[in-house]
Amino acid sequence: MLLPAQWICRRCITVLARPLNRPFIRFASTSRFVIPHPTCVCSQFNKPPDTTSTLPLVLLERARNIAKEHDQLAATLESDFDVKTAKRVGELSPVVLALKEWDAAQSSIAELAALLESKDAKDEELEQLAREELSSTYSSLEILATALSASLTPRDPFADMPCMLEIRPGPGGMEGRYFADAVFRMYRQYCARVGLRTRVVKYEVVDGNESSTGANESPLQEAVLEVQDAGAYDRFRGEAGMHRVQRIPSTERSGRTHTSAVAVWVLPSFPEDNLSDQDTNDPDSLFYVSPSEVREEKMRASGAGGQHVNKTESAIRLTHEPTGVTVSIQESRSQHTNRKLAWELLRSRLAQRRREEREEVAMALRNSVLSKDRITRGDKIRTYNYSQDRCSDHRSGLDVHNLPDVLDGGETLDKIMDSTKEWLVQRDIQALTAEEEATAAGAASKDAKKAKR
Amino acid sequence: MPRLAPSLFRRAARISPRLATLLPVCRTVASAQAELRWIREHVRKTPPAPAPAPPSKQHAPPPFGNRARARTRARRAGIARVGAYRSSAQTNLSRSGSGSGSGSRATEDRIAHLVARRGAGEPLQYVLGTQPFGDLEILCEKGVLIPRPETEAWASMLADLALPSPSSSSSCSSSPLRGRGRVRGQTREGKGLQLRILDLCSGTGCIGLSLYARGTAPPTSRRWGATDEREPGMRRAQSPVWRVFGFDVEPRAVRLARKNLRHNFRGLQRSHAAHGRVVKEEEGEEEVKTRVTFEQADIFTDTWMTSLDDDNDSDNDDDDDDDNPSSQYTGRDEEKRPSRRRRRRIDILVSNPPYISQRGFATDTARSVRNHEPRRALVPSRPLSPATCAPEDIFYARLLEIADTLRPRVAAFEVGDMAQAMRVVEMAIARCHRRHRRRPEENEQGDRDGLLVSARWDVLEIWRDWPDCLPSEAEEDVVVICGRRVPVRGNGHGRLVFLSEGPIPRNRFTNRGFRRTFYVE
Repeated sequence: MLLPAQWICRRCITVLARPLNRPFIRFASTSRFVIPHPTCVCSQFNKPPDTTSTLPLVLLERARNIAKEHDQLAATLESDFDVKTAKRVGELSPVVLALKEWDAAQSSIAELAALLESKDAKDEELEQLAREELSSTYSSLEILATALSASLTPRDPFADMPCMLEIRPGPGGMEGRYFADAVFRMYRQYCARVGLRTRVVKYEVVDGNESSTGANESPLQEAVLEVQDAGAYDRFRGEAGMHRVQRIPSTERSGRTHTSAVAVWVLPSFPEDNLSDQDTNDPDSLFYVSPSEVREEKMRASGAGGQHVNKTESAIRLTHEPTGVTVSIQESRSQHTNRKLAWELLRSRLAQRRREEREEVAMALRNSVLSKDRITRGDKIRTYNYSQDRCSDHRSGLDVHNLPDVLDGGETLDKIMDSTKEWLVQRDIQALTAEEEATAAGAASKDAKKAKR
Repeated sequence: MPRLAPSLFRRAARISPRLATLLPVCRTVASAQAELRWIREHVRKTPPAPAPAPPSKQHAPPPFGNRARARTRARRAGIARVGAYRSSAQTNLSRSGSGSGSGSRATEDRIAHLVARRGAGEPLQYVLGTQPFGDLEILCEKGVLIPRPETEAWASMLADLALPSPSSSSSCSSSPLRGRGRVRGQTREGKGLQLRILDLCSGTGCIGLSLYARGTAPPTSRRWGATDEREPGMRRAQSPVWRVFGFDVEPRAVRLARKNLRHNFRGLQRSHAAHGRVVKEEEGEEEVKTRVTFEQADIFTDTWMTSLDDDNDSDNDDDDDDDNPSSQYTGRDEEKRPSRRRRRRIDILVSNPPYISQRGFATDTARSVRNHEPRRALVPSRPLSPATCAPEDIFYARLLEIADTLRPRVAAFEVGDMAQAMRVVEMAIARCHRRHRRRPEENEQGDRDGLLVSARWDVLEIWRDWPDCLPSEAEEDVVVICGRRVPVRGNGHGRLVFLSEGPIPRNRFTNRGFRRTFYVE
């Protein structure tokens, strides 16, 4: 059997074990909702001192409830089939699967521990084997626990969708614009390398100087890159935020390093030929935009129009009046195409916005727990430092070198994006634990009140 | 036109010397950048022509005086010098497409050549040879009017409003054409049901072709493919056979329109097979060619009118009885049955005739239009026989005459501005009165049935440039002409006169372009 590398393990442990153990102990003793599972108790007793159980009991409890619901639904499905139920079962099944694996690992640990404890077996070889097995199971348990908690975290509603990457220069003058172009190119080359289909929805350059660097950057006003493959949103959602650059601009005479920023927004995009439940015509959908709320403007002919003039301008501007969100596109010669693009972009922006509004309550809770980890659009998430040839992600804390490869969308960028994703998963787990604990605490306090009466 | 500031040229030249070449025609750096990008994309997409024609012969002399021309040339030379020391690494603009590919010398030469032509004032559509129109790509050639975005807008709106959509079954069922189609389809077991569109002054053929494409498009792509396969019989019975007749007086336009037909409906057979679309015959390219025809004709001649009769008669010999009113009108129209109406020969009449006055041509038209587009397609040149209307309106007089004979259900004529639109509406209203007065027997019958006799056109509307947009605060949505309240849709200049016999088609586009719900259910 191939053992998982040691360092992965340690990492999981350090990340997971840190803040979660103490509450676990308290809740295990107070909450009536938490019924310790026999194998779980057993594993606690037989635990080597350095590995504590990495799965908070609240989460385990939740997983058990979900498994129960899953079994019930599956039973009802057998008698009469219902699309909704089937879908729900499909959503729950990863949790159940992860829980089964975790349980299996736990029980095997229990067995092995029992074997070791019963000193009847004089066979040293067997004991050796059992010890090895035990340690490997412990290490895999960590991974399984992470997988289980990850499966419990609410899946992003847009995760399966394609996405749009909006890139805009932040404050910082021309330098920010040039770097925005570099970021745009980074993502495009990354997609080309990984094999994602992309489409440039918008690429607007401001009037101004050509960059005199060899980098061949142009001052970007705004660019929108659509990544058309399903699941792209999940891949890129960690990229949203402010990307900070520290470098000596080509225009700088005295060689001072400038710091400027580029904002990257990740929006879900509505696939053209999809059969998902997100229907643009359904008023409940996040993607629904009522045509009556959108003001459409085309280029206004100053003269007589029609046969009198022969304009090539095909710009379209859409304004969503209730929110004031505007989209203007003049990418294509065809007004028809521009309008389609503009509508897609408008839908995506509004969907993202509505989702943020909808989740505000949940977010408030999470933020109170995880305020230090909170990312908003205003916070920098990553720094590209040219003079040190370094790119560091501020959330996962990963530093990588070989900046040119990052900006070419090479494999170094993969590393950063993976670390970000890992961080996001961990953050979700923490948020989930906090929520579960809050509800459990609420229930417990109610209980206590009742008891007083 | 105000003179462009030299600083603007310098700024453009700093970005790219080609931009400076385009600047005099584009007027702003942003639009010059957009055009340069399109030119680059075009060059990248199309394979190089074997022998590019010398540029100078093709375009008309620039409309400057000698001195002005010399000055421009000097200015351009100066710009070229400015741009010279900047290396030719101006590829960043082309990056928005896929891959740069502008490395080769030949490509750069071709771009330079096209940019020079455009910079000399030739319309971009002639330079690139195409213009997008709806979902179609219309080929453009010298001597034929370039399709305008306004035309695209109203053609699309007309298709939305008046065409029976092949994809939806419920939303459009109230459209009169649709209703009629079903009746006829049922009576004739799906045979011989036709929907005829007449496109006069067809030019590139863009209007007729786009209406045809919209009407016969495979139902909204793959999404509902399964439904199609399940109910082929139903679809067969309901989808009418589309016919488009285009006429233009200019032989070059007719040739180009035929070329456009081939260009846009090349892969039709394959795509239809893929979507499981059912038409009785294999609707391949050949089929489309028989369905959509473009002929050279002068619509003012009587010989054309009679030939049209022959054409249509021979064409629908098999469903003559079908066209006769007694079988045609059922249900809602039943009460009209006794009136001896003349046969309806076409369903939709569209036209974008020349409508600019002599004076307007000299003062209002853009330079690239005046110098490069055919005057014949812009200014009506026919001597007017009875002085009943303004010289720029003579086409509408003739079109209304034709409409009286052919009795289309819907007619749409593009016009130059609001004043002309109002004149045309007035003519349409007046013509109805005269026609009824001329025909006492019809009048009599109408009176006997107690029906209104005054208007043949039940709905008269004026559409502005962008009929699907909301009008601005300053724009009225009703004008009163001859005591009739005529609704005005959309915003911009007055652009189209929409006439309909029978009530306005009811679908979700019925009230588009009005600030309020104009037609209540």
